[in-house]
Amino acid sequence: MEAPASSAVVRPVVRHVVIQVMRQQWLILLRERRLRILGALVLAMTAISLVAAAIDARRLRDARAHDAHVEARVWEAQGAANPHGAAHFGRYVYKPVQALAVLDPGLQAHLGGTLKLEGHVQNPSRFKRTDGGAALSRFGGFSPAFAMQVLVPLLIVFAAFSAFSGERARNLMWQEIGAGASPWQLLAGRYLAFAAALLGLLALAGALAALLGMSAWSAAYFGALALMLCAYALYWLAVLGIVLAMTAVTGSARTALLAGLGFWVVGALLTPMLAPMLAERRHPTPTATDFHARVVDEIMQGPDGHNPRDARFAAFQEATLKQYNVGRIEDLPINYSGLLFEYGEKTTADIYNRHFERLYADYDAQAASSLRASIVSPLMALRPLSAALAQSDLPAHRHFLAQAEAYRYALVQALNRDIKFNRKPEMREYAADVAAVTRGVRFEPAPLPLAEVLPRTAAPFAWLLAWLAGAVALMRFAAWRLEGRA
Amino acid sequence: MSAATIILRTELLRMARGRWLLPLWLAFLALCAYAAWEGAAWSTQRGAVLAAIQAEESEVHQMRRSQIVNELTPENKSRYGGAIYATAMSFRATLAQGELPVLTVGQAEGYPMAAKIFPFVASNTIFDEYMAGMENPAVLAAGRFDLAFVLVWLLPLLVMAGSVDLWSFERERGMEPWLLAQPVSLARYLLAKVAARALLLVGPPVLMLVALLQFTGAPGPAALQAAVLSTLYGLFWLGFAALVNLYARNTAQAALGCVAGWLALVVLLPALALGAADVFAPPSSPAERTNALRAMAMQARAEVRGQADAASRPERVPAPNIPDSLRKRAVEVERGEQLIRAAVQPYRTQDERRLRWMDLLRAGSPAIAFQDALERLAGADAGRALRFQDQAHAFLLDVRRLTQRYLEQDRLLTAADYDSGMPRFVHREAPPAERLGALAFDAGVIALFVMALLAAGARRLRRQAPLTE
Repeated sequence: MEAPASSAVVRPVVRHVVIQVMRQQWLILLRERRLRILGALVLAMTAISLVAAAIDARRLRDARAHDAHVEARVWEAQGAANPHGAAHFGRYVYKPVQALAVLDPGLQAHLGGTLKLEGHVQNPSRFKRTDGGAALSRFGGFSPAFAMQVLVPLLIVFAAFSAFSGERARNLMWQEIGAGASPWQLLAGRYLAFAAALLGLLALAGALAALLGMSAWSAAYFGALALMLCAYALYWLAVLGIVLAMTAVTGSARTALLAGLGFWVVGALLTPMLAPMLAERRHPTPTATDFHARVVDEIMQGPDGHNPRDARFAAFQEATLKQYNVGRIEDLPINYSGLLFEYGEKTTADIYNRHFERLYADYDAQAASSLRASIVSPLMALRPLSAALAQSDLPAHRHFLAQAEAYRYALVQALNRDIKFNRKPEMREYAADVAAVTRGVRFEPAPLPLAEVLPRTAAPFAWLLAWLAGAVALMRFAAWRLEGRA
Repeated sequence: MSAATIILRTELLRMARGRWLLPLWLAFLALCAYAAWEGAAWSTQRGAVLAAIQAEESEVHQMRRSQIVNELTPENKSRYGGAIYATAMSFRATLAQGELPVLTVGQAEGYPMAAKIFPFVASNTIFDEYMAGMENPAVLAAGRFDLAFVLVWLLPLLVMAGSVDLWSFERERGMEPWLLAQPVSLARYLLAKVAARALLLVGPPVLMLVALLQFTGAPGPAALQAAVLSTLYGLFWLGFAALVNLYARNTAQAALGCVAGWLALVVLLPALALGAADVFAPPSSPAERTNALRAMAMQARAEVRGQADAASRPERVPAPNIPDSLRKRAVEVERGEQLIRAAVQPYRTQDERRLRWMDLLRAGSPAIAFQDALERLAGADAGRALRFQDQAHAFLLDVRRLTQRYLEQDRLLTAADYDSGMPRFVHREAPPAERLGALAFDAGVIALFVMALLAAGARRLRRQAPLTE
C-alpha cells in the first residue's frame, strides 16, 4: 500500500523540480543578450520575409489576372480564322497563386506559372522565376520557409549549445544535482524552457501568416496551416532534443558547439542538397531532347493527322464510311479532315499522357528516395510535408497541369469539331469565329482538396515523430550518462 | 631562426598533430571529388544533348538532299517544298560548353542552350523548344552540388573550422598574457599563425581543386585562374577568422562570430542583394511580353492580309518556282519582325537594367564575386548566354536575308546547296580582354574585402597595443 502513496507524493515533487528548472532556464535565456538579439533577428527576418512574400504573392496574383485578361482579348482578336490554325496559335493559362505558398514557396520558383496550350502538343510550364538570372541568383532568395527550416535550427544550436556544457553551465548542473535534482529533470526542464520559447516563435509566425492570408481564410486553409505548424513544431523540438543531448554528453562548450554546427551543416545544408541528386542518379530523368524525341518518334509512327491521304488512315476511313453508311469520303455528312484532326488529337494526347505519366513515375521514385534520406536529416521529411500543405510542391503542380490538359483537349477538340461539322467540301479556305466556337470551354483551376493532400503527409509526419522520439531517447541516454557520473 | 619562423613551425606542428586536420582534409576531398564527378556527368550529358541537336540539323539536311537527288521530279515538285524552298531551311544554333564546365552549372539551366531557326519563325520563339528542361524541379530547387558550391559555401567552413581557435585558444587557456610578455608582437604571432593555416587549410584544398580539374581533363589557364581566385577567397575567410579571434573572449564566442559572418556573407547578404535587385530592378514579365508579341503577330497578319486583299493580283502564268504565297508570307514575317522588335524593346531594356544591377551587386559580398568568377571560368555565366542569344538572332536575320535572295531570284535549293552552300552558326566568344576584365573585377572585390579585414585588424591591434607593450 505504501508504494502508490509514495509515488503519488514523488510525482508533484518531480513536476515541481522540472518547473523550477524551466523557470530558471527561462531567466537565463532572457538575461542572455546574445540570445535575445539572435531570437529577435530570426523573428524579424521571418516576419520581414513573410510580409515581402505576401506582397509578392499579391503582385503575382494581380499580374496573372491581368495576363489572363489580356490573353483572352488576344484570343478573341483573332476574329474569323481557320480553327486548326487557331489551335496551333494556342492559348496561355496561368497557375493560381496558393495562399500558403507565402509561408513556403516550395518548388514554385522552378516550376513556371504559365502554360502554353496548343494543338497536337503538351508543353511543359514555362517562365520560371529562376530563368534569366546571374551569379547572384545561385544563392537563392530568402523565404519564411528558409528561415524556419534552416535558420531556426541554427538559432537552436547557438541558444542551447551551452545549456550543460562549458565551465559555468557544468558547475551549475553539478550544484543542481547536488541539491537533489536528477539529470533527467534538469534536461526536461531546460528542454521545456527552450521548447516554450520556440513554440512562442512558431505561434507568432503562424499568426502573422494567417493575418497576411486573410483573403483565403477557410476551414481548409486553417487545417493546412495548423498541420504545417505542427510539422515545424515537431522538427524544431527534435532538433532541440538532439542539441540538448549533445551538450549534456559533451563537457566542453566548444565541442558541443562544433558538434551542433556539424549536425546543422549535415542536416540542413548537405543532405537536402545531396539526397535529391543521389535520387536522380538512381532514377534518372530523361533530358528534354530525349523526352521529346521519344514522344515524336511514337507520334510519327502513327498516321499524319494533317494528311487525309495517309495510307495508315485506311482502317479508320473504312470504319467511318461504314458508320455513316456511305461509299465515298465526299458523301460523308461531315468534314473528313475535321474528323481526322479530332482522331489525331486523341492519339497524340494519349501518347503524351503516357510519356508524362512515365516521367512523373520517375519523379515519384526520386521523391520516395529523397524521403528515405530523412534517416539522416529531419529536414528531408519536413520539406515535402510543408510544401505539400502549402500546395507549392510537384503533385500540386501536376494537379494544375492535369486540369490545364483537360482544358486544352476540350478546347482543341471544340475547334476540330467546328471543322468537322461546318466546313463544306466546296470551301477552299475555311474560317470561323474561334472565340465564339470556344466560348463554352472555360478554364477554372481548383486547388487540391486537403483530403487529397493528407495521405501524402502521413509518411513525413511519421518520420518527424520518429525523430522526436529519437531525440527524447538521446536525451534519456544523456541523462543516464550524467547520472552515472554523478 | 626568427621568432615568426619558430611560431610558424610550432603552429604547423601543432596543427599536423591535431587529430582533426586529416579527417577535415579527407572530408573536403571527398566532397570535392563527388562534386567534380557530378559536374563531369552533367557536362557529359549536356555535351551529348548539344551533339544530338546538331545532329538533328545534319539529318534534316541529308534527308532533304537525298529527296532532291532520289525522289524529286518536275511533276512531284510541290510535295518536296521542304527540300527545295529556301523558306523551309532548317538550322540549329547551339551554345557549346565553356572552358571549365566541370566547375559549375552556373546559369546554364536558366538560359536556352540552343535555338531552332527557320526563316519564317518569329524571332521571339527560336529558343522556346530549348527553354524548358525535364529536370525534376525538386533537384533544381535543392541546388546543384558542384565544385563552385563546395568552394563558395564549404571552403569557408573548412578554413574557419581550423582557425576558430587561432588566438582565442591562447586566450581561453590563459596563455595570452604570457605570450604577449615575450618580445614578439601580437601582429607577428597572428601573422605566423595565419601563415600556418594558409599552408594547411587553404593550400591543400586549392591543390585538390587543381588536381581534380586536371583529372577531369580541364587544364589550362582557366584552371590556374580558378586556383588563384580560390586562394584569394580562402585567404579572405582566414583573415575573417583571425579578425573574429581578435575580438572573441573564448573559442565558443569565436565560433559564433565565424558562423554568424559566414551566414551573413554567404547566405543573408546575397539574399538581401537579390531582394534589392527585385525591388529596384525587377525582371520583365515574360507572360506580359508574350501577350504583347502575340497581339503584334495578329496585327501584322491583319495588316498584311488587308494589303494583299486590296492589291489582289491574278496568279502568275507560268507559275513561278516558288509559290507567291511564300512571298506574301515573307512580307508578313518582315512586318511581324518590325513590330516584335518595337514591342520587345521595353522588356529588353528592363532586363538589361536588371542584369546591370545584378552585376553591380556582386560587389556586395566576396561570395557572390567568387561565384561570378567561377561561372565565367566555367563558361556558364549570364553574359555568355546572352551573347549567344544575340548571335542566334543575328544568324536568323542572316538566314532571312539569304531566303529573300532565293525568293527574288525564284531559285530552288539544289543538292549542291546542301553540300556546301548552307550557312552554319558559329558562336563567337567575348574578346579575352573583356573576360579578363570581368575576372579582374571579381578578384578586385575579394581583394578589397581582404584589405578591409586587414584595416579592421590593424585598427584592433593598434587599440590593443598599449596592453602588449
